[in-house]
Amino acid sequence: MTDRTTQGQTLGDMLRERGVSRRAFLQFASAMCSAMALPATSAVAMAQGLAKARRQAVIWLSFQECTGCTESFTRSFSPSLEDLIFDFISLDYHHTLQSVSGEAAEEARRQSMKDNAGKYIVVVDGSVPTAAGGVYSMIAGHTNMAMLAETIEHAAAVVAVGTCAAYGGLPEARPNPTGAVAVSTLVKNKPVINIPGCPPLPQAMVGTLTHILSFGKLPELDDLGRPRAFFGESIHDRCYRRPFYERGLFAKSFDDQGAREGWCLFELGCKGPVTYNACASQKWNGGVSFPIQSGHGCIGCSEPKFWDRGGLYQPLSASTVLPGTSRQAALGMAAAAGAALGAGAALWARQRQKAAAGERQAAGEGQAGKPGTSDTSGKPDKPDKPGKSGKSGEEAGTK
Amino acid sequence: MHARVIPLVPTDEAVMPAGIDRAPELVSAVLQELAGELETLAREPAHLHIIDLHSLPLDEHTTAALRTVLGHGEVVIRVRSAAWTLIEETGYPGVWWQSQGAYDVERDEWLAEGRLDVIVVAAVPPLVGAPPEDVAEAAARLRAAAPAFMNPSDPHATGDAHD
Repeated sequence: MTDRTTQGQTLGDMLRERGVSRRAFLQFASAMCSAMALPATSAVAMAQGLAKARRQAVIWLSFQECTGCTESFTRSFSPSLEDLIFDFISLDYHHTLQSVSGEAAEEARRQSMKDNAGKYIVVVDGSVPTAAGGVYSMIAGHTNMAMLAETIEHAAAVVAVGTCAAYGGLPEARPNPTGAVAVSTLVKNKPVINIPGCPPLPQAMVGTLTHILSFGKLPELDDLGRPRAFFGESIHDRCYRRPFYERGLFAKSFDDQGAREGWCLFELGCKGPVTYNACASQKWNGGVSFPIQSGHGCIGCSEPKFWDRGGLYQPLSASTVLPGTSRQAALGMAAAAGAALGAGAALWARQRQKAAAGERQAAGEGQAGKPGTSDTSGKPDKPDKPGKSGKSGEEAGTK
Repeated sequence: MHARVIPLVPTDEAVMPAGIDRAPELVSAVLQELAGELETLAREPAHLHIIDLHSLPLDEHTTAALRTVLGHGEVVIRVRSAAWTLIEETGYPGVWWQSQGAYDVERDEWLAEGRLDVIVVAAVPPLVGAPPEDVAEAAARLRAAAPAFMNPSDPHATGDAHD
């Protein structure tokens, strides 16, 4: 529950009483700015915004899910900084993390909704079953559909974390017996931020909440409702194996010499070229590694319908090989195209993102609204016009 | 007694550190950028510029080479806050190499690869200065603590000062 004695305090005051200095805010903000590709100098403004913000009430609803998203969220990017996000937010309801249970838990949720009407954020992990009236998943006697509708009524925004909540995910895979749908399918009158991934990067979840807290508005989203800061580039854009792709050097099996040499895993089914996520730059487990670095191709878990898009070990090009064209030749053509089109793409994309972020900072931070009071208008800053994005899922062949 | 002299430009600029050849244009571009920012800093002492190395396509070898090229200056600062931050002046006054992350104090090494390395161009990096709010709060704490030391023989008096 939100501690009522601290409701009027800023985060800076509250944490200062617990021995957390404003330098810690700056350290946290520096890490966030780096993760979100914001200009590094904006860390000072972000830290100041955080220090002046009020603690953000968050209600976390878990529906058809595996709790992997929570596991990811609680393992942030740095052991010494991860706890800060739990100081910045008041996690008023969360099945796995809350200590109360039963009716007391449901009362905590309703009390938070009442106390923070119009300001609280609803985080949802898991898809929502709709078949047979939604009876495939019930909590405290209520269907997930009913609980979602009730909880979002006075929310400022909804954050769908994980591919199940963002796109339906595994429960929605064919034949989808429960009629599972994404959160955005049901929520039409509130801003919805999608943070897909199975699980999503903890930095993406923490960064999104931090952006809302610091600047009082939603981060810039792409046409699939994802924060551009984390989903603006493909895995392929930032993959350290990309030079091998461009030279046409592909591992043929997981234990051949090419695999040992770190060659591209495209032929082994890597979905990096059509998957937009920050795994290659942010990495996992405190920055230790990510799947491709560990020797396995990207499975595209942060893209819609990734379970139904063919085998995990089937090359992307397999379905497009023309009759009479050998698979090897097709892959060679793909590599040549990659070399022609891809040279310098990662650097260019990064620079473009930085430049855009700089423009946003210059134009937006002065009018960022009141920190700690989420912009309930729900307007993302500078939403893209369809067709203008260079990185939409549609253009990447993700729809 | 001999004074220890730390050369401000310790790197033999005729010798290229290993790793430079992996991305010589990028290293050169970073140095050019730093030179321009230093010129601005020389004119405007409050100037601040930060290069997030994470945003550049530098591998660990090139990053290490860049660190070698910049060399080491006179000042080393360790910040023990929520995360550890090591700030070291490079051989070019006004250019600071700042690393932040989780640090194993006993083993004297960073815990994970997820370290955040930035190059700061400033008279003093922002993280070093005491924030005004913390300064105000510190003044209030000192005001409250001072009277207790008037009678240091009272063991309870100084204890109150730390509440």
